[in-house]
Amino acid sequence: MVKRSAWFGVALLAQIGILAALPLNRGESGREIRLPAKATNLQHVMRGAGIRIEYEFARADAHRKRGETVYVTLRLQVDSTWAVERTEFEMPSAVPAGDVVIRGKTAYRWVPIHVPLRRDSSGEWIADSVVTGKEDEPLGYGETDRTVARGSFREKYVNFGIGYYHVPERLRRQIVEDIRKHPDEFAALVRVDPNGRASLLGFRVQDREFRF
Amino acid sequence: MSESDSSGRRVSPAFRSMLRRELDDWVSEGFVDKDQSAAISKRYGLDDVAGRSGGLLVQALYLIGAVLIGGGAISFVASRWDEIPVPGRMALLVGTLLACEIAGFYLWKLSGSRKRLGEALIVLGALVFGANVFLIAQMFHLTGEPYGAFGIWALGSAVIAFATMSGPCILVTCVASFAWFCGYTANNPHMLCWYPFAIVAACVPFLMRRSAAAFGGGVLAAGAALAVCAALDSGEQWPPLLAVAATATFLYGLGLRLDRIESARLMGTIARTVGMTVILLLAYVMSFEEVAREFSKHVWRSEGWLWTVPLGLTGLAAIAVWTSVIRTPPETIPLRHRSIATLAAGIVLIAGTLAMQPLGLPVAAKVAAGAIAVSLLYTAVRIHRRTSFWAGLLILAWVIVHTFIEWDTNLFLKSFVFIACGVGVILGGIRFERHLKQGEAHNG
Repeated sequence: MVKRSAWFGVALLAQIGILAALPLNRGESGREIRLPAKATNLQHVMRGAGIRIEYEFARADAHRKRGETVYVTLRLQVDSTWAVERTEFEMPSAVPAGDVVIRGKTAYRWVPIHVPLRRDSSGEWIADSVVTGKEDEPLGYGETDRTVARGSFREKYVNFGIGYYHVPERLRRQIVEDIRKHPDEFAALVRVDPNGRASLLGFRVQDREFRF
Repeated sequence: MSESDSSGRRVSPAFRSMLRRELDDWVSEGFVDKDQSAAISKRYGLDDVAGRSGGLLVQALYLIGAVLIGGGAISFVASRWDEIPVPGRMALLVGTLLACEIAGFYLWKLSGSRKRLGEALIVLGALVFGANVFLIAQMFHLTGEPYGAFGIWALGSAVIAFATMSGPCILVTCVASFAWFCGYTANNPHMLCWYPFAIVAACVPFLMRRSAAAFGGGVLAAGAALAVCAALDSGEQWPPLLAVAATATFLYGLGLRLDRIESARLMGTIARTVGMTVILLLAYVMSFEEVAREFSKHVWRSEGWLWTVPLGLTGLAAIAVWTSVIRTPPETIPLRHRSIATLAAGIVLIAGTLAMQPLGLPVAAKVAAGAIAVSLLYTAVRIHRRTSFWAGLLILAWVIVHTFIEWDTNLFLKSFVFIACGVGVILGGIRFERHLKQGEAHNG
């Protein structure tokens, strides 16, 4: 009985140890940068999901294998945005002062694609645009002279582990409306440590910062 | 689920439960005396019927109740989560975990007064641990892949499962680790083909204690992982088909073997049910020509070949198990026939997949489903079981109707086949019911 209780005690300690160690995984050192990005998944944020954040520099070459580690060197531009300087498959040995190296892994994701269609006076269906990514559903679905063709495609991208941010329930509506009003003025607040590991600290819409 | 009486014949729990009730009436009405009643009771093992079925019900109620209370508590806390300071949140998370697990351990292992409730609380603790991992990750905005949280959950629930030797806890571990495996393998498709062996190895100590929950969890996680491994390592569609067909055939054979061990009968039933269900589902999906055409693309092509290692070993295990089944077939004739039909169905599905022909696969699928249907009909006639009859007839009618809807034959032939099917179902049903009545009359 004593042996059994001892093992149970060890198991409890191990569980608490695992939980206590989790916050230590958060990188506290490193440089804080502001990365221009696109916020998606907004329609699902109201139902409790987090904001998905997509980065222009996360696009991967189609011929890259899944699971490859990628190091992207970013350089600060005169307009205060960060642009990709180079992409490598090993940690660069010498990084110029001011540049930031961020580490990611190539992965697959399914990207939805919507093609809004309308019928002209002769009865022919015409596609005016193609919408890719997790946008809100285009309007006009199921009407007599409008509809939407839907599909999805598999895309390779570099996953930096900074693509998802949870927002508190009480602020969901306010934040979603804010992002919808200013979609081009959205930026992610990211901390990058010397090994290239990035952590998402929050985001910014115009000059308003949100960190939870 | 059926069990054996002392003479080795298989009788259902429902039959034993009814017999137990009837026996009391027979004694009070004087049809049998107390000695005869005791002999019947001993023969069919009626003394533990009430305790066993009632115990299972109570355990199920405790588990469902524990999960619902846990869900309610999580929702309540989540609604006020933002207003609680971080140290308070951490104290709440760890406190709930400790309360569940310590109370569960006390009731189950120390006092032994409420064993089932105690085990349910330990399982709730394993679920709370998983919720804690996700809440802490969200609270501190931890970076990394979401599947990593499932890996940590699996680790934590495995620790408590081994400390208490709780079968349901290792089931939670199997589910959480499978979710982690899927995420990890999606990013690293050529690395983790050893997972099925690791999860089975983790379940072994629980299987030695005849834990049906551990067996179910291990079977589902390892079996599904084989298919995921084949799909992601190969990057093609035919290898997972092969994996599913081979694993399901192996499971049915394993179930027949386990049936022979008195204490492992429940595991045997689980393995046979899962094996048969998966074979029928696979036959259903593969019977569509369009689907089969899609699956038959890229003949023998595969990005990686690592998946063939676990699948090859599963194939060898299947050969060993089925060789043993063929050498010493099941005792009852219906089960013997059904085992031959299932083995034939599995082989036909594997051969159909390997043939890589858009026509070969749907034909193989229909032959497989037809073989199982015929074996069910045979069982029904042989042991007068109505459910087997209607299940077999339904599968057979579906195979015929589906074939004639899909195949481009002329309408006259189609009408003839549909009418023949309809007449066959009605006449077959009437004849079977008459057969049942004759059997009842014969038995007095």
